[in-house]
Amino acid sequence: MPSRFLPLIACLALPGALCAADPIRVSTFSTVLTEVAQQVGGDRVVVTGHIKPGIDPHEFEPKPIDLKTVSQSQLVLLSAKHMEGYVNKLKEATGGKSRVVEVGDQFPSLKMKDDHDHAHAHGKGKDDDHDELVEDPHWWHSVANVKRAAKVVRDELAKIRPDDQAIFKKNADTYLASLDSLQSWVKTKVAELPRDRRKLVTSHDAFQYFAKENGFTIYAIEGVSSSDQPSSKKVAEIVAAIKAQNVKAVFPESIENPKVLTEITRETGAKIGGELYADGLGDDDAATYAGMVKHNVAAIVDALK
Amino acid sequence: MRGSPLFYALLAFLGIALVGFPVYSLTRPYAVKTEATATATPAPSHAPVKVPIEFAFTAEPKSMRVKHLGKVVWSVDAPGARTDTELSLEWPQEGVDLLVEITWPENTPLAAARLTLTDSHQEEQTRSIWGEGSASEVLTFR
Repeated sequence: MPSRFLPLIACLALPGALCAADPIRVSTFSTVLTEVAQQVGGDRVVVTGHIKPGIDPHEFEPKPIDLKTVSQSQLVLLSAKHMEGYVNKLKEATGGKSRVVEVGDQFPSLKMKDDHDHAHAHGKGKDDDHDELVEDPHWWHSVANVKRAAKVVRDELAKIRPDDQAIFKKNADTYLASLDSLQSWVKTKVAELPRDRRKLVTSHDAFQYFAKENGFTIYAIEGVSSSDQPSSKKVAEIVAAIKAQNVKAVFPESIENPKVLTEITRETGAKIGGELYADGLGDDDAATYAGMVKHNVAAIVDALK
Repeated sequence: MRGSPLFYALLAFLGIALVGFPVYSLTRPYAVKTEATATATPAPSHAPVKVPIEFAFTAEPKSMRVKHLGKVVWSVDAPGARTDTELSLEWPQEGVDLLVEITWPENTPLAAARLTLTDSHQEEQTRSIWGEGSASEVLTFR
């Protein structure tokens, strides 16, 4: 008998001993959480990232193949703070057999105006009142929040596989140390910009957590969803603010059409800064969390100097 | 009785112009008006102010330096247990960030530095940073 079958036979004969080493199947619905799960889980997990880089998570809807994968997962990680309007579908798909963790709900929220399509994500009808305050779901723009997320994932993996708790802690500690360095890099880079020039005009209201940590004021041209369209009044207010505050640059984001920003730059003379990754990881230098953060921060600071 | 075609064409043009102008005004993209400018507060300009600054260390460092807006504004080798100077900084109402970098000699145990400065309102502000071997931290003063 070929020796390569021996582990399989042993596994079938002694499932409690050898098959316990099977990797934990994890499904994630955030590109950032995909990285967190891979870093903390290491070779003890197999992670399926259902939202790929460049996909708008505000618009994502799981397909039958996603639900099938979720039904076979032991841990499902969601961004939450109402980002995923389809959470009940996922819970149904698991049949209550796996852990569905709404990671962002484990730490404090900033509030933002729910002025347009966010009703979609809340599962509300279109006739619901607009302009109410909702939780801002873009928590990953704070490195401190991603550190919190890594701890949540570490603890959840340890609940599923207590024997590997020490491995998850070691992996998490290494990842947290890299996030400490990233946080320090952000503070140092942002310190190159005078505090009175920290005014961020973006096409998508996604950077509140970053702004709060680093002393920026946000002038968002849209509300929560990147499919929102701004009113003429809102655009006029932003143009006035840009002129009065002498803002040097405005920023499109990686996903949507920056047409409105082009109009604003024509009115104000501000230049268009580099593209920002608002809704998760991207390609090339933004393919990792640290890469995405450094790309965004360098683009903002260098353009506003 | 039929009128002149030119007359009807002129009449149609006037009709389109009368309806078209208000429709254009309502629907043109991002009709930006300048009256909102008057409600916004202009960004103030900032003259540099003199900022007395002092460090005290629990262990004497090998070197220390202070950066403001990415540039070194104060650097001292072997500063002893205390050192002070006066910086000239622009101080907007939002405050200033100073990047402080300190290196201690090898094998120095965990050590601390206390930074005291007098801000643009003539009020003293104090911050502490800790490090083992070295420390690098952005300190914010408002």
